[in-house]
Amino acid sequence: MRAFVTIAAAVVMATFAVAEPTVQVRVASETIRVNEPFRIQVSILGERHNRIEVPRSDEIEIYADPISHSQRVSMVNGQVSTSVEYVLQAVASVEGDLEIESFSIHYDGGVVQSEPVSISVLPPNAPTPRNDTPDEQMRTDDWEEFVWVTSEVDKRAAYVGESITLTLTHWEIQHPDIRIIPNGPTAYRPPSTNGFYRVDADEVQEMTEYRSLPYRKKIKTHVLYPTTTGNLTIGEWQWQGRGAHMRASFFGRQRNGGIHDYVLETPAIPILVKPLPPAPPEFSGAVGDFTMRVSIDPPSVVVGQPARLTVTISGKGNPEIIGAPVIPELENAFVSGPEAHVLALSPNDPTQVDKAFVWQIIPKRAENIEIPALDFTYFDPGAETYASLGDSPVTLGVVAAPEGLERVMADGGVSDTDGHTSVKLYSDALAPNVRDAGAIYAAQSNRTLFAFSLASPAFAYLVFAGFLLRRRHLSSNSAVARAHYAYSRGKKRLAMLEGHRQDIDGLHQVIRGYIADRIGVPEGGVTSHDAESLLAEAGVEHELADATVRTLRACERAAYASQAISADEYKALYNSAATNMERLERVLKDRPVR
Amino acid sequence: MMTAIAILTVIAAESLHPTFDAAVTAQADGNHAEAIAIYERLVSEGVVNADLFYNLGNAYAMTDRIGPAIANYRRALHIRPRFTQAQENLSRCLDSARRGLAPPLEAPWRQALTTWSNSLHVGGLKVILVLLNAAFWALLALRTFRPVAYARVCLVVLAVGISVCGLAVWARTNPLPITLASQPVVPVRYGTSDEDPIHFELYDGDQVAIETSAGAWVRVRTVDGERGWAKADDFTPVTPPYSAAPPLKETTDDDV
Repeated sequence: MRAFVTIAAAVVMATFAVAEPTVQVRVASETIRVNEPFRIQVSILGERHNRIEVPRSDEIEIYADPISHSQRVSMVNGQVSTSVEYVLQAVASVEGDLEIESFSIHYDGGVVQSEPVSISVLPPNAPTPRNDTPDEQMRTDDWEEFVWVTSEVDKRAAYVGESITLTLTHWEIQHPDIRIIPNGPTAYRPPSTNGFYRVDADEVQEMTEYRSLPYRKKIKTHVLYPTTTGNLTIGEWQWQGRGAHMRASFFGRQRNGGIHDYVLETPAIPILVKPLPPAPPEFSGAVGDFTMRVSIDPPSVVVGQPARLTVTISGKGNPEIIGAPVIPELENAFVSGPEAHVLALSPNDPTQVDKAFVWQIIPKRAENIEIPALDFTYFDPGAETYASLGDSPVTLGVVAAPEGLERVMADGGVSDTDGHTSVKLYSDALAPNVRDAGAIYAAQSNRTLFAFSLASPAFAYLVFAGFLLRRRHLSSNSAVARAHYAYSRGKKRLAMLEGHRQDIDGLHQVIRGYIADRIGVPEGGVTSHDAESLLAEAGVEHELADATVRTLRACERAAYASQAISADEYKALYNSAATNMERLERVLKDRPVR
Repeated sequence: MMTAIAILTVIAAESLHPTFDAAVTAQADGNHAEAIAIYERLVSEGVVNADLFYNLGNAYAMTDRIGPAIANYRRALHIRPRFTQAQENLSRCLDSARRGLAPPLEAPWRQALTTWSNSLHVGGLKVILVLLNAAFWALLALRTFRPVAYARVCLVVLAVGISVCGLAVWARTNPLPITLASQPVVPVRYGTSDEDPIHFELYDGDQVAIETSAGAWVRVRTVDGERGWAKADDFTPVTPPYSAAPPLKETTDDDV
């Protein structure tokens, strides 16, 4: 037990002994050119320091604000060590062999000083000597050269609303032996910007060469607009990750040559925000540098048709605080709006914006509307004064509505007490009612009548044309015409014989003429024998043909008989002829003409 | 047939005239609500009369219902384009409307079909079409019967006239369905639900075209091409079928 306590006390004492800070200062290159910025790395082993005192020199200017600082936990060959590294920027103003004096590290109860570092400063145009190859440079103690982060602002003092560009850059070496992996989620986390309105630009990546080594720069730009006065602070930006140095093994495979955990953090940046000087009453609230243009589309409308008046403010400034210009009241138009639209002109430079204000203008009368010149007043931080923009007046041409209505102002007015008006029209303003309305009836659908009116002339024409065609057909073909008129002609002739007593010859001619006309043969030579064969040819049934032939033969015998037939016999022959002719017509009606 | 229809028309007219007179009397006595009820009943029974629509528009205007008033004046002018009093009162109502959004324009080709005939009554246009049609077929029949000098040229001219007149009749009898916002504020939404966000608002007297309908909702289009869905019962149609104006809803804070 006593032995264990002794060992533990020794370990604790050893730990305290190791935690006492030591400092090491190195430069990225021992040979630099005059007026060319170079970086100084200050590594402090142990975290119990309070302050770093930067050496002052007329020949070498060292900026006290570090461009990055990192907290490192290293594990090499199983040994764990912690350290804090600061990267400072410096510039040599004279040529020759110079010396960076000692850095003083203040810690609880003492001061530790670094060793001086010698550098050689070359003329501005001298080529940078390169004594070592990249492989030689990739030593495990160069971790700080592989990754670092910087944050810069374009100004440390600004007016309220003035744009400040914050640029965060992540440098990462591009080398096949080095792998850099961020810790945790890779999503980018911007620094805290309390008190600012922030607009983010897209991330830009570019390849660059630094000290003859290839690097990839990830540049994230934010535009910050202070929203309050006083001392504001842009917070630290932290990046955490792990670096691995891969070396080729004997068999060509890679093996782990060392791991380094990075906790890189940029320092906080103080910003002094000044208030704006007393503003004129027409100040729009915009701070920056702007131009203005006014347009109207379409340039000419009919009464009641809306036109869009667009005022576009372009320039560098916070789009959210760009207020709309004031449109004067237009008596002969209804004006609504404006609607505001913000458009960034460049994804990489969100300070350049277009902000458009669109009003809808609806003319009430057929007379041109003149919109006077608009005024836009803003604060120009460059000139530290207020500036005004103006544009020439625009005219909206207005013509009467298509129905030709000339609108007359109502005697009544529009109440705008609540913005959602009820319209008041007085009776005197309206033309009086109609008392005698004429025919008041439930309208019947006249579509059928209208369609009939349109279709009936065409139908009548078709009937008429059909009639004409038939008539022309009959006139051009005598056989068809004879067949067509055979029955009517026969009936007419038969009716004429009704009054004549015992005209046997006429009766014979009527029957013979009908058969000849209907079948299409000359009438003169048709005898009872011919009629029998013609009817048989025409397909008339035997009984009907026989009855017709018997009537014909009876007429022939009576014509040559020595004694005239009686009235009853004539009547019987007449009726038989009429009956047979009617029956024959029914049979032969649809038979084609010979 | 025409005579029979005319006789039936006269008989029917006699039966509805007392109703119209009662509405006119009520309006003269200042009882506009009763007059509106009677006029709307006549409209619902199928009466299509420019004077009826004009008086109905007056009654709505007297009760500060600008949307229905404008709709009825437009109906009257659709039937009788040269109805001077209706034109005057329509102008007054449009000027008194909060915004007076003009109706969407017809497609250019439809405008070309109807521009020349805007001042003509549709019935007159139909009579002209019927006469041209009859003349065409009569001339064609005459030419079929016997040769007629310049018959072919005359037939071509008549055919062109029939085509132009026929297309104009079609376009006039199938107009763009214009409707009037008839509530103080009519929200037009992105979809057919009260939960959908409001796209824009129409005010009493704004004129829009109905593009399609879905249940109780209609998709409307403004003159500058904005589209959205609104409730059908917030509008009074200008074009047939004529329906009554919706009752005035109470405006709530949400509507505002």
